[in-house]
Amino acid sequence: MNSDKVNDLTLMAYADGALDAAEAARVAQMVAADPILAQRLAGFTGTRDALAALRRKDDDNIPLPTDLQAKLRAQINAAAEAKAAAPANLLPFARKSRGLAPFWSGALAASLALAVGLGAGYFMASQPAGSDNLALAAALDRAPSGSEEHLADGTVVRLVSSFYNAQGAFCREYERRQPTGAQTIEVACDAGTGWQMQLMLAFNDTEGYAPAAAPELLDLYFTQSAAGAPLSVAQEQSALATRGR
Amino acid sequence: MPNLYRYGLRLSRRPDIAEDLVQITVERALGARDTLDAATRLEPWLIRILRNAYIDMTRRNKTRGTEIDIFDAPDAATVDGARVTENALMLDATERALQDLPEDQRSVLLLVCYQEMSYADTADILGIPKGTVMSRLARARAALAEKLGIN
Repeated sequence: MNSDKVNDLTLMAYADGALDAAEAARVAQMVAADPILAQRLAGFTGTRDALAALRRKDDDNIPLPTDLQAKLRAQINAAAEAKAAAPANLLPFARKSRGLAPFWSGALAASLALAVGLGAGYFMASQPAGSDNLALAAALDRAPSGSEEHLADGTVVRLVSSFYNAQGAFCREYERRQPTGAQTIEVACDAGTGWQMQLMLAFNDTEGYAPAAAPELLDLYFTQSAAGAPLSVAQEQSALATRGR
Repeated sequence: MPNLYRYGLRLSRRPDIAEDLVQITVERALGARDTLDAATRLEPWLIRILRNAYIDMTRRNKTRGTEIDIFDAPDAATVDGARVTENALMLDATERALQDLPEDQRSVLLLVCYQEMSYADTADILGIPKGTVMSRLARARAALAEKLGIN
């Protein structure tokens, strides 16, 4: 009889998977050999199961109020704007700022050319081949981050992230590989008047996508522009859903 | 977010209050986000904020007598019939037993077994030692098991 050698708290922790492997194995062995202990254990697993069943019922029966998401989004955006307006706190920012040093590093200079300066913001429509830009804009409106879009002209657009900038405009970071082989990392924002390019980094890498040093330049841009943190999958989904209209 | 809302509903038992609680939580979380360091995990932190908001609310609001309790109302939604009949009795009994528990035991039970928080997270959320979480939880489950006839 081992019943007295395992106290309730240990048994409960075992039922909850909170013991380390060695301890759990020891308890499992004793439970297997002792019906009384097994019955005490059932009290703990049974109550856990009962509460889990209650949770599943709640999940089935309780719809999240549909307008709650929208209210929260408005709340978050309002806070982001208030934050941007307060000069003392200009970096509400999830990415690490790495400072200026990487910008001037030799490796980076060799592999990257900064095509457009920070915040230069020229219209996509001013780029060559206007119809491609419609396709690109459509991809930015629609495609979730992490996906690839193949445009009609052979351009591949790989969406990286979405965020709101300090002015509250919806922005997307993406990589673009044109049929000519030209590759760029770009950030475009839409403040309600169409997509506007904020940043373009050109790089010549025949293999994959962004060179390792590119994130440092992007960090610099994000920091300087006081961009908001990247949106979660759900936040992005709801942002893209409203753009589809 | 659904997790937070569900927890708010379990605490307050009213959808409108649960919704308010989630909004208050987001507001406070936004206000306090600068104090959040990288090591803090979001969910327990948000749950603690929501729980505190609920406590604030009930302190201010002592007139809860006539409110409709959502969990006592008949289910408006129709769900899978077989599963409902199979579990309905057990769920009702669990529901009632939960309400009969002392508040300190119920909080711990809800956080660990319903919200699936770890003992350590629960201790943080409630601001009590982990040992206290475990002893309250064991007592709560002994009482619950007895009412449900599982021991």
